[in-house]
Amino acid sequence: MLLLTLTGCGRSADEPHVVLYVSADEHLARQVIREFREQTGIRVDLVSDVEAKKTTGLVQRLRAERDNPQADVFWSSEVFMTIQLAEAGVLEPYESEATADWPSTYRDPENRWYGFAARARVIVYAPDRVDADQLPDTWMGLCDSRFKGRIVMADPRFGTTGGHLGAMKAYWTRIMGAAYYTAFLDGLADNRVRMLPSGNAGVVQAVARGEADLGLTDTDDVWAAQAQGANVRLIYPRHAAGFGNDGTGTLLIPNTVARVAGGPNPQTAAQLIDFLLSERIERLLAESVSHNIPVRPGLAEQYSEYAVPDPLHVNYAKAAGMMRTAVEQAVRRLRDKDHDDAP
Amino acid sequence: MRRSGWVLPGVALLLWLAAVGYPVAATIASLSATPTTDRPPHSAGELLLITTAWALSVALAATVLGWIPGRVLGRALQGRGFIPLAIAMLAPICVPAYVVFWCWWQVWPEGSDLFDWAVQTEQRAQFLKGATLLTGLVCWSWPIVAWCVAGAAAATPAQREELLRLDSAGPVRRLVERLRADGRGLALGGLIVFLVIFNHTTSFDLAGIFTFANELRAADALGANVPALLRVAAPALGIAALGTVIIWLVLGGSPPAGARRASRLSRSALGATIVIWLVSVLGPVLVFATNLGEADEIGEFFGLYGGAVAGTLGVAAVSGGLSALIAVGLAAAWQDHRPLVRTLAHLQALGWIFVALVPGTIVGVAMEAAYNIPLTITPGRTVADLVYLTPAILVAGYLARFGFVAALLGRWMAVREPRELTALRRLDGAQTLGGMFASSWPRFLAVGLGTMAVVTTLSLSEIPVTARLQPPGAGSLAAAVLNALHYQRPDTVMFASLVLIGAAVAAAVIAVLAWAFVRRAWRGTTVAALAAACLLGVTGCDASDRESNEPLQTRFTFGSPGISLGQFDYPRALAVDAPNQFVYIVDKTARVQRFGFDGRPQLQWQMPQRENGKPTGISVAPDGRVFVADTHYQRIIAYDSQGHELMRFGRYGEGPGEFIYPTDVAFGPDGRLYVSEYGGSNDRIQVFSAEGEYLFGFGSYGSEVGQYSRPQSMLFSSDRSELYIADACNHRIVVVDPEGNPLRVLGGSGRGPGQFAYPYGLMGLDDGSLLVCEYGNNRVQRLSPAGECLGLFGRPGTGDGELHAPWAVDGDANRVFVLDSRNNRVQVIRTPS
Repeated sequence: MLLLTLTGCGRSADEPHVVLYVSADEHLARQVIREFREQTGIRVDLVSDVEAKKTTGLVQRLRAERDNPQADVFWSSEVFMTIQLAEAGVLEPYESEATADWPSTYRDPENRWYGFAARARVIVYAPDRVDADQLPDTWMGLCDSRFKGRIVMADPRFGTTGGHLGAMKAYWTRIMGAAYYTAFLDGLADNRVRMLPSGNAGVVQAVARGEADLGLTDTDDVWAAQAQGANVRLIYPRHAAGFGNDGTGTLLIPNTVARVAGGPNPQTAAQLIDFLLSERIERLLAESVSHNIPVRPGLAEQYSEYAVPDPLHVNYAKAAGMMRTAVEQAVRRLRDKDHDDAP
Repeated sequence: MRRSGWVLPGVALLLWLAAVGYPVAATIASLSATPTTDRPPHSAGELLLITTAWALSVALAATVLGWIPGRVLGRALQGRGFIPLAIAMLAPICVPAYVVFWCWWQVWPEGSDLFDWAVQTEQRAQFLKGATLLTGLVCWSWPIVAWCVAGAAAATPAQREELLRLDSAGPVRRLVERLRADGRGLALGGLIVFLVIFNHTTSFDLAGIFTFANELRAADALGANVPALLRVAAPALGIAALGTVIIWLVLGGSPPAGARRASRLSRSALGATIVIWLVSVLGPVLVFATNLGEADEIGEFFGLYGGAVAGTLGVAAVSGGLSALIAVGLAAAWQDHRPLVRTLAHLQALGWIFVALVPGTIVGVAMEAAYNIPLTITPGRTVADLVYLTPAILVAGYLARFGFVAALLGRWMAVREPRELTALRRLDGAQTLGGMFASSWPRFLAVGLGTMAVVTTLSLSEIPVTARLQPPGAGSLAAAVLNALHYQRPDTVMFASLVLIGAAVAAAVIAVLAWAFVRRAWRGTTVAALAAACLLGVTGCDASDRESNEPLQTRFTFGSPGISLGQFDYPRALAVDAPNQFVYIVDKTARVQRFGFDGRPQLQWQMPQRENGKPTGISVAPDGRVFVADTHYQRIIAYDSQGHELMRFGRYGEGPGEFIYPTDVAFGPDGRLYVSEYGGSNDRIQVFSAEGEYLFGFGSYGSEVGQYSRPQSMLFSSDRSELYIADACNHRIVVVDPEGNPLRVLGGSGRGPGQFAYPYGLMGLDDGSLLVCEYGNNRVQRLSPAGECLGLFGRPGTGDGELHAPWAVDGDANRVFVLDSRNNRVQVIRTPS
């Protein structure tokens, strides 16, 4: 039996199966694949990522395997690195009945990925230490000196933080000019924003445990902390001062699903992708502790308490393209404080 | 070594090549690529400083905290009560450090007073988190120091402690002396903790602290290639290399000479140990227990993660099993008589230790460089298909990370094997696989099970290699814990941790019980018995000698196991006073008993002290005085035939007139007393006047002419012109003149006629021939003065006429008393003519 385990022959190669790389919440992913197997009889071989290098590790693995793909489906908890993979030729176009009417905002023009069940980038704060009327309306508001030494953020080289910085740089460069992003980083550096290696959940924990008063994070981490009784709240900061629904508001980051180019099981991969894009899964994720925001307009209305007031209009592909430089700038500015970070 | 003897060392070498040798070579080969980045990570110097500061702080605190428990454990390992203590100190190490930290973190949940205090200012909150991390890491790591100290304590002469006590030394001096005694263990433990913490990532992740190892992993996750990564990792690799050398030097130094017997366990030390353990281990477990979820959530957990649990356990168990093979394979290699085989084992051990000290990220990278290759080995299957894309790659990675356990335990096994047993196996000229098992199975079993238990548990919670190499569908419990921590699913964290903690406790219990078992087996089974098992042909050792040895023609026997008058507890020395027809025997109760020639007990007396050990030599002077070599008290005591002490001389030391382990007294011309001894470099003969004044000495430790290895007994020829010395561990009888000049050497190691295995006892016959009692060959041999075999008597066993580890032989013209030590009896035979 041990030998079988060792060689991986305990599972029959003839049994229909599909290899899924997933950087989303493993607990939810396991629930999903259990349901998928019950419905289809297809076994899902899962590879998940440890949190510390969330998504980035799997993305590197997919890149490394490009010439000899092992995965069939990539389910990512964000969109930016999926786009980078698509550009690198790791993903292939996929269309089916399930994707026919998919909202254009949440799909690749070449159909190499589809977005679903989004999260929003928000500011988490401790209500007992930050007055509601002091809270910033915009991200730039974090540069206000009254928040000096009170802010934490995750290492942007991993997870959604980097994508958000890319989106900021892309959006602000278009609307405000390239210097705006640099000014934002300068403001954060002046306010001695602390970077944590523990991801966005670590940011929420740090605020909950009094190590900081505010933090840059995702909605799902705040909801999860609240479910555990943590005294934290969130606000939906805007990217530019605006009023109402003008597309200058909060960044949404969808989960994405894509078929790996040349994966060993394309047929079962198609079934799994359709299953992941089904309304059932969006509903499951909306009702989960993460409270993901459905991208299906009809479904979103049913979960209006988690709706984002004014989603930011941003081109995900452009944000993904700027991500690398945005992250490098941020890391240099915030960690290597000796570096002069003139653009 | 017959062919099958290669199997175990060969398997160990193959596994080493697969997990260490080849991956290291593949990594070096891939260095020719251009680095993907030409600059070190941001703030590399600062990160090194921070990481070093953390590792040093944890190592220092763990060293201080682990010292007293280590001393207590060291004592317990040699006495009673070690099972609970050893389990208590092994289990915490097997629990992942990040789980211990997480448990401590739960000590101040939201709403607690401490929490409310901490959230007042960010400095307080950060301080408290740092303090919690330090506490968690120290609580996890002090048992490592304790085990290292225990190992050193077990090798510390008891005399030093006792002398200090006798001298009424002040507390400072005692502290300094203890520090000197335990310095090696403390240094080793502190160093290991430093290196482990230096490379640790997960707890620092959770605590939100950037360290060097985090940065290395980040570089890897961001796609740095091998040359770029190794450039980043250079400081860590340097530290690992230095650490390897230091650890090996510390492990390789010879322990101080002297009795390795535990001194008394102080109550205050035991109390302190219990307090430290309760606070640092039981405390977090209780916190953990109070947070346990409901039963239905357990069902949900296993419903979702059952496959991952099974897969993780399976891969970990395979790694553990292979590690067990490595441990016994290396031990077998170290016991081999050829320097080349032993050197290879040393090199492998160094490799295992070095790789264990290298950051896990680098191990993962090396495995990928080695096995993620498209080389076709069977039609349609590549190396990558067979290794890299299956759990085999994880097993290789776990072996690389934890093979050091096998190396250390294998070394321990090899070093702890009695020299006699190793020599006996070599003596048989056949180190077959079966022969090794037959003679060493208790240790094989203990070391194998112990290694398997520890490596399996460590593999269960391994993160860096798992995260990098995990094949599809394998599942990882440790990764599940981490992800659940991130997604704030405390139930999943707790149930997965429960499995890990359960596995840790199970591993500790298995390892310690295996050790307990071997101790018991070893006590009940002597070296001679194991050697006999080998000889009896369980294993392909040559059994022909057995048939050539007839049982003794025993006239009668006396003695039985027990501690009453006339009974024995492993008697080890016998001497006959022929004119008075007395037989004196001393056993492990440190009692001298006097018997008549008819075997009836007449009287007994007790040696003055017995705690350190019991006498192994007794002789009767021509005037009827009884001289006892009080071996473990470094002295000779003379009694009259009623047991009244007449004189004593000798003390501990290596100088003239001093002893380490005196074994026998022989009576030379002019009333001179010849005393044989061994221990340290004291394998020599010293000569004293009839009053006990030192006159001169000869001999030193070794196997050349003029050198001795445990001279166990001596006999003067009837004209006192020649002294026969049973040079036991050289398996020979050396004949010297009264001044110590060698005249000739009789015998040599072997099973055949004219050869010896541990000649322990000597008796001269009237015709000038010699009776030699062979402990290792379980027989009595008659030799001409020139060394020619004149007869073999006895064979191994417990039946009539059979012998089990005989130590001594003596008698007169009519009868010979053979001390059948392990059978706790004396067999009386007719004196050969």
